[in-house]
Amino acid sequence: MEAKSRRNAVKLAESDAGIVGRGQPRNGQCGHLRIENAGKIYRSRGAAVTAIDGCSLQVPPGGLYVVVGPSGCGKTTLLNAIAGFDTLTAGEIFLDEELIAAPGRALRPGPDRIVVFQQGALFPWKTVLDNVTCGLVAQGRVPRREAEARAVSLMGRVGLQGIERQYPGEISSGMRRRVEIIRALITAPKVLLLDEPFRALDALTKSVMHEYLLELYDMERKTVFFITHDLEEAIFLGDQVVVMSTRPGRVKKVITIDLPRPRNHRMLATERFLALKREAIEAVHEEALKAFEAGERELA
Amino acid sequence: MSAVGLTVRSLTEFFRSTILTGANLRGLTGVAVLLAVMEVAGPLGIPLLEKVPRFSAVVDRFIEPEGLLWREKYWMSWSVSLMRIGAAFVAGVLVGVPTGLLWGSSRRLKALGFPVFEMFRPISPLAYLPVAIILLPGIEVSIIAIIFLGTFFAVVINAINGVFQVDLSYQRAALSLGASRRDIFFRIILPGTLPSITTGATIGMGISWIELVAAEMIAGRAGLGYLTWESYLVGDIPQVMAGMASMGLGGAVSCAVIWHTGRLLTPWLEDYRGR
Repeated sequence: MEAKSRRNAVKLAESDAGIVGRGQPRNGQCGHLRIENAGKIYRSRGAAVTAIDGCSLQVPPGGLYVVVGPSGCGKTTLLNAIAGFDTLTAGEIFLDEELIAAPGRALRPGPDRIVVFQQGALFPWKTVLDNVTCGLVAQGRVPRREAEARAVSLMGRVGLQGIERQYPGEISSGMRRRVEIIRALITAPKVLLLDEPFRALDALTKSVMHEYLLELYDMERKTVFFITHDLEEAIFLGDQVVVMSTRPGRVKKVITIDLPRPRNHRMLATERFLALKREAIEAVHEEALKAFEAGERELA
Repeated sequence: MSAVGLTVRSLTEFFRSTILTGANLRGLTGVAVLLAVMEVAGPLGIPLLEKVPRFSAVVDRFIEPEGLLWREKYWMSWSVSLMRIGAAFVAGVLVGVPTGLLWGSSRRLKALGFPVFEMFRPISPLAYLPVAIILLPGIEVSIIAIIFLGTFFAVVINAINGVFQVDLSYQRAALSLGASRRDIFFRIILPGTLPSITTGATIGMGISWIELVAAEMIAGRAGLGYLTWESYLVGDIPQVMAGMASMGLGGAVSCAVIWHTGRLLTPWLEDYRGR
């Protein structure tokens, strides 16, 4: 127990150096994510379902990788394994060469890899400010007042001032997503795991959120592992777009997105963007068809 | 929010915006219609309702020179009943909330205790009374114990369901942010379950009044339920109605107090549900 907290303290002290918005892009030393032959077989009512199988991928420190694939291809399974919410049945996952997931290993979610959820998980009973500071406070890294000062200044810098005392239910859904991302970033995780975070937003809000996310990313250059099934979103945001095959999920194709950063919405109409999109559509469509047919078979 | 607003707003505005709302006026209309029907049912000879004492006769029982309002016995009945309900309700919440939270968050503990709980829950409070009187010291304790059961059952059931309804992603988000198991229980499960606990406590308060009367009618020597029963035994039907009205009022007011206390403890809900 004590040893664990000491280890955490050391780890956190290191990562404390990276609180968002220092202004210096930190093409980081930390946040190297390595997935080796990850596999997951779910057993439910006697039937075994292979969600992912032999899935390997490396995300370099500071990389923004977007994983796309049809529903049920195991994207979320992979993310849950990285986050420490669910076990693997094969393979290993390392974060900065530290083993974080392997079969039979106890689940240990932690502040070095923070998840932003599809449906949003701001605590409705805490004010926006308490939500943003709760990570720092729970980890006992800084006194509450200092955490609050940091949160207010960070939120002010990204145009979220004035909502600190409100409850999440009182602000717009776009703002909620932004606050949730800030809540994750302020604790300086090594890697940010985004599970279709903008899925529930309307198209216009979504495009604003994309630029907003990129702005935060360019500030800090954290390692980001983003999953979605929106190809345009994937290409616009990512360094690499990782196309996963339908069940069992494994990496089918990695498309390098050579669009320059900083990016903005005008890029969505450029030749290069469209060419990349064509390439991605080719790869994904084939898998979507397979998934669809498999689904039809299951129903028949 | 509303507590601060109250001190700032002038009293008249408070009256207009909080008391004379559309909902309250509609509620009053409903009550007025009920009382009017009660008043005219006898004279008009409406079947079934004609034997119901007139509203004015019930009011008379309260305010006539020897009426209930001027009798010490009536107020004693109130205080005896309120004491019983208060003690039983507080105990029910204090025992019920932790039980519900534990059973909601631990499958093993729930598997151990819940079946027993479910077997006791459907038994009518009246059926417990003989056992309670034999086992417990004194009638008073027995009556309180029976009222306690009603609150306890309601709070536990609602708290368990409340825990189940706390989205798993809140727990995951908290773990991810570095929360300990203790934090998860006190900072996620407890606040997340608070709305359900409020619901359970409000229902429990309503049940308390139901069981109070049952217990007092059989075993009591004082209280609103006893007063009502005694009035029946001497054939004073308007006073039976007066006793019923007192319990109805007491139940409605105490449930409203619990409900609003719950709302004060869960201020985030106001806007979350757009109410």
